[in-house]
Amino acid sequence: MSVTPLNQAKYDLTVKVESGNVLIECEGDYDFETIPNLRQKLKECVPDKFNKIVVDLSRVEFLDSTGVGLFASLLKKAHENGKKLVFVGARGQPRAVLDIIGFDDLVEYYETQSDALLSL
Amino acid sequence: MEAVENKKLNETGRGLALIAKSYPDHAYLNADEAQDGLNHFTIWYPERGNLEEVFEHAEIANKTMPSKAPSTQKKIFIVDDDKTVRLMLEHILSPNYHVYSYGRARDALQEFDIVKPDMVISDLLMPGMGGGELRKALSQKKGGDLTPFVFLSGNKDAATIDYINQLGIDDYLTKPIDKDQIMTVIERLLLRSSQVIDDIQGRVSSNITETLKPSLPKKIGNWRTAVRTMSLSTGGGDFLFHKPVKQEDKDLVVIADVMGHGLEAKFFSYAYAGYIRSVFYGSDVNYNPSELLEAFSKMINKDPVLESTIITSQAFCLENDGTFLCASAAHPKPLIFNQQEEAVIELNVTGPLAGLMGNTKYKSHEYSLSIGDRLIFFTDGFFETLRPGGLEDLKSFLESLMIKSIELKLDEAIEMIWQSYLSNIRPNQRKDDVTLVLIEYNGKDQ
Repeated sequence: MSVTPLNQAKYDLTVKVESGNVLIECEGDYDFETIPNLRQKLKECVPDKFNKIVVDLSRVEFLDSTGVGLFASLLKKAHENGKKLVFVGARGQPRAVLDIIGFDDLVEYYETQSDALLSL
Repeated sequence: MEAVENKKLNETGRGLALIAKSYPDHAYLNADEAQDGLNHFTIWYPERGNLEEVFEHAEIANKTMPSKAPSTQKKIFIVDDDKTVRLMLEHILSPNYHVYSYGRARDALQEFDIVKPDMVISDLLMPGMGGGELRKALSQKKGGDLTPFVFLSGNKDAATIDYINQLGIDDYLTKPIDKDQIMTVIERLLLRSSQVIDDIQGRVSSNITETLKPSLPKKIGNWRTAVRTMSLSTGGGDFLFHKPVKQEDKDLVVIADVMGHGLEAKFFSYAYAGYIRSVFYGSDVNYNPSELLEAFSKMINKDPVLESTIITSQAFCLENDGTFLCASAAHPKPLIFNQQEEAVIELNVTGPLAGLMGNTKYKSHEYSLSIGDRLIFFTDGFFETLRPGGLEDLKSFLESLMIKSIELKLDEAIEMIWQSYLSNIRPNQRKDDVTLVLIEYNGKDQ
């Protein structure tokens, strides 16, 4: 299944479900202005059953607390299902924010999507 | 008070002692102390008043609606099957609020849409529909979710507190009722509710925010504290909670920062405050900092309503011998100024965000402070300051200010740090509440 990216220039979100893995590709600023739309999109596109959630942050420019809240709810969903959530390509300001919040103790980070998917 | 009237009440005395506690202007004489072996309750009333009206008022159990009250008065529902409790609450609240009291929850539920109260205060356990069911039923009604809901409960046990927390209420009060406590809670919740409504209408009063600002006692055991805070009308909220640990020479403090932006975040910040408050003050358990954060985390994790925003928090314990215990849930690390070495050290206290996992474990880190050593805590909207062009390095900035201000008294030192901080943050970066706490260990002789 593939979902068309949101039609705004500032941010994007693409959800792909392949072999039971959910790949979420994020782009742009993830902040309080963009998150309400993204949250709705995620709700519609992420299936109830999955093996693993891979979140690709390599093209995220900025992450604020609202954005962290979005990933926190995804992480909770994964844990409730006994599954993992992993991040790909998190660096710079988004990575610093995730580290401060304590995500580094709860998720795995990978450089590329293939590394993340192979880590199953 | 211009006149006195005595009336012997043909009652068993049950509840009179409680009533007397809430009516300090009147007098109560216990049967054991009275010559005639009966309980006496003496009511003082204004000379021009009609005594019959006074007693008539006291007998009204179903509805107490002051007819001349101005229309701007807030409307409060009281739901309790205990007539004594209703009478007490009516008396306490009726001078300032429209009070509607009900002995049965289903009657309150029926009239909710008609009256549209500003707040509901309900007993937890009642025959028929209980307070929990009432809360759930009201939340299905239009405006019901936004109406502050306060539980009255005679139980302080962990199971009751857990149950109450799961219902997503705003606060709860324990019986016997304390007049000051209930007035404080009501005023706080009505202010909060007003704030949300004002915000919707784009008319937020800065006075309201000012009233709710975080604070600490200036002296806690052998420690001195100073606090500065800046609250925004929208966005998250900062909180400080403090309580002495029973039967031990130490105090527990929690600093919390609810993150996010806009009306939703502001609203949730006060919901969080109610939750934290219920764990912090509602329990007789002497939590240490890590246990306290574990209790918060467990509570937050259970509540799907709170997942749209996040909270960072730090719990710490100040002991009278200079020992300092600290645990953190994703909160910025505190700094300590060691006076002897004239050095600022960042305390490596870390821990995951509360609520991410159901069974998150935290660690309490222990430090020993000498006289004159200072601690600094902050909630600074640091997500915004991490944006390129913002305050590049908050930690080194605060470090240099702590060193510069060490010769100053605590109050002067915090003022200097605060002013420097404000002048270095551009106005358009002020998107979140900011709180700064400076604490100094003064030793046993102070």
